[in-house]
Amino acid sequence: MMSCSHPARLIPLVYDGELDEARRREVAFQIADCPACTRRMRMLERTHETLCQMLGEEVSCIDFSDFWARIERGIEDQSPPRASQWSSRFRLWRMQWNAPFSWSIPVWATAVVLCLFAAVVFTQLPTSRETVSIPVERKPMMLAFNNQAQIESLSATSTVLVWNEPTSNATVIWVDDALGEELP
Amino acid sequence: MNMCRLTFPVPAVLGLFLCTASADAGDMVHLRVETVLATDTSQEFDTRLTGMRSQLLAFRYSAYRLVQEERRKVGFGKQANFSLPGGRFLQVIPKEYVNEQIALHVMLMEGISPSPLMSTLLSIPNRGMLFVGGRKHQGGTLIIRIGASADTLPPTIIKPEE
Repeated sequence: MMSCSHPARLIPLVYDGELDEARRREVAFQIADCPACTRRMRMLERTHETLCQMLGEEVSCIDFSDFWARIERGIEDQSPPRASQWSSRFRLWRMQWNAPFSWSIPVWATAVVLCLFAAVVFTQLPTSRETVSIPVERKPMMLAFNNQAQIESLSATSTVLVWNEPTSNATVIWVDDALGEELP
Repeated sequence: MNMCRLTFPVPAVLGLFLCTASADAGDMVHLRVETVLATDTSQEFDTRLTGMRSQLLAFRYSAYRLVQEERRKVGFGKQANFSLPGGRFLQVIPKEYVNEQIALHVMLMEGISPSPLMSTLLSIPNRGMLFVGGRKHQGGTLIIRIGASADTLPPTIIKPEE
């Protein structure tokens, strides 16, 4: 088998035009003077020709007449995400929230307990902002039919009358210095 | 930013906020003092008193006018002082909240050096009311409606017996 001392890696570079003009000329002379290099160059040319011929034949067999129509059909028939895609999205989401997930279990437990406590507290609070700032005194007939007060002690320096107002049964304490015969 | 650094402050602040809200909601009483001047000089009825019209008409006066309205939020054991027309003072101290009844210490004072004219310790239903009246003012009589509501528990609707 014939062999030469010329570097074989330069032959493809010459064939592809990857060398500068001076180097290409130098290598081209070496190939021309060396039968082994010439044979390599020929083989490379034949391989390239054969490959181009095969590709040309393959491409000529392809029907491009409905190329764009098939692309449009493919877009329209795009199937919904598969399970693997959903799992990929979940993994991405989990990586994005990786820092919060790194909280320790006691911290999460504390947060859950506080949220439950907040729910209990706020369900007992008045829902209306107006009710919080200004207590709306509802009609006594609706909430407390009997407004009657239970008096534990009562002292006064004037005459005092106590009775229950008939509509809502609210207690009336009447303090009058000169209470006449006619009641208010 | 390391999110773990937020683990302690967030629950702590949240807990503090909840505790504050809970204390505020459970220990406060809303007081409402409305002062009405009742006279016999006209037939005027103040439209602002429509809500207590039926109650006021139980008194034997022909005209009613709202001269003052004041609302306060006060804690149990804390006193709320209201200045009334004619240099009078009304002091209300919520004492406790038991069985949906609000215990109140009500004191009416008047005079140049205010002295207790009337002092009473009583209980009214939550969101209930009390009338204190009889003091003369500008040719009429003052009728003071004192309302109290504690939002610690939802109000119980008591239906009248059939």
